[in-house]
Amino acid sequence: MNTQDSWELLVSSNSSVRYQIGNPHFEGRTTVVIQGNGTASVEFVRGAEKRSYLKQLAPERLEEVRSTLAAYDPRKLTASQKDLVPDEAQIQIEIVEGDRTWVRTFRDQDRWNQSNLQKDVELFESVAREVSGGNVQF
Amino acid sequence: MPEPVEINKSIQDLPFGWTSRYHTFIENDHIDVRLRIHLRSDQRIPLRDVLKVRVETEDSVNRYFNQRFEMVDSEGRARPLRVSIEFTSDSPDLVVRLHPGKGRSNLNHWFVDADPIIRAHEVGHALSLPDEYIDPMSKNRATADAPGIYHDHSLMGNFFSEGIDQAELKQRHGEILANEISEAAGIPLKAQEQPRITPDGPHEVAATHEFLLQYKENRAHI
Repeated sequence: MNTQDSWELLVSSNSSVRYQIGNPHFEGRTTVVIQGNGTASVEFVRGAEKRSYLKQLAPERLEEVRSTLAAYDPRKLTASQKDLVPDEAQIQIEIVEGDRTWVRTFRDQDRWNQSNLQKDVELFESVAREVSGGNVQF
Repeated sequence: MPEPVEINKSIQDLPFGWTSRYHTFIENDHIDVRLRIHLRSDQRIPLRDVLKVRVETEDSVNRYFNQRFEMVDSEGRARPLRVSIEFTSDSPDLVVRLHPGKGRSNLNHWFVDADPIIRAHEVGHALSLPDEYIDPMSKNRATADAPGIYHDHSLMGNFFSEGIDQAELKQRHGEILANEISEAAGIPLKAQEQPRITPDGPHEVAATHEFLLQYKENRAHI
C-alpha cells in the first residue's frame, strides 16, 4: 500500500472530499463536496439548468461519512481501462488534505464490479439527497 | 417465414465502443428488426417493476422506431420498418442489468424509475446508432460544433434539454439502419421517412410461466 495515499480523511478544516459524476449535456452532472468542518455542497448542472445547495452536516453524520470512506477507501480501488459503453458516466473522486491531493477517475462500470466503490457512490448520493432536500437524487 | 439475418458489428465512438447485434427478417410487405434483451434484475426489484420496465421499453421503442421509416429496394418497393423487443435469456443480443430507483442509465445498466425515452435511446445504440450530444470525452462530440453533434431534437441527442416530447429519429438514423440491413442481407435498401400515425397506447404484457422462471433464474445469478 502506498502510505503517501493513506492519510486520514476529513480530519481538519482544510481537508475535503469531492465527488463528481455525469455529463451536463445529457443526464446531468452532480458534484458533491464535503469539507472537514462538515460543510457539504451539492451542485447539479444539466444544460442551462443549474441548482446549488449548501448544508452543515451534523457531527454524527460527518463521522458517519468519515467512517464509511475509511471502510471503503476510494484510494484502494482500481479504475478499469476497458472501453466505455454508450452513455457510461465517469466518476471522479478527489481527496484533499492540506497541500496533498489525491484524485482518480473511475468508470460507471467500476461501481457495479467493485462493491466498495458502490458503497462510496451510495454515500455521496445519500449526501446529495440530504443536502438538496431530495432535489438531487443521483 | 423468412430466415433471420444477423447483424453483428463493432461500433466505435472513441473512447466509447460496443457491439451492435440484432436480427432482421425481410418480409414481402415489411422488414422486421428484432432485438433480444436479457434483462437481469437486481434482487431488490419487485416483479411488478420488472414488468413495468418491459412494457415501458416496448411502448417507447414502438413510439420512436415504428411507423417512422420505409426501406426502399432497387425496384422502388417500399417496406415499412418494424422494430420489436423480445425479452429473453436465450441467446440475447444485449444483456442489461436492471437497478432499482433512479440513476444514470447506459447501454448495459437501466433503472426502474428512469424516463422511458432513455431505454429507446439505449435500444438505438443496440441498433448501432451513435450518441449525438456533447461529451468532452468523445473525439467526435467534444464541443457544440463538433461533427458528431446535432441539435435537432434527435432521440440520440440531448433531449433532456431540447425537450423529450419533441425527440424523434431522423432520416440519418434510418439511413444507418438501411445500410446495415443492406450489408447483412445483400439487398440494396434506402430509407425514407414514413408518414407519422399516432402510435398505439400502452398495452399490457402478461407474466408468463416462462418469464417467471427466467425472473427466478436471473435473481439466482446475482
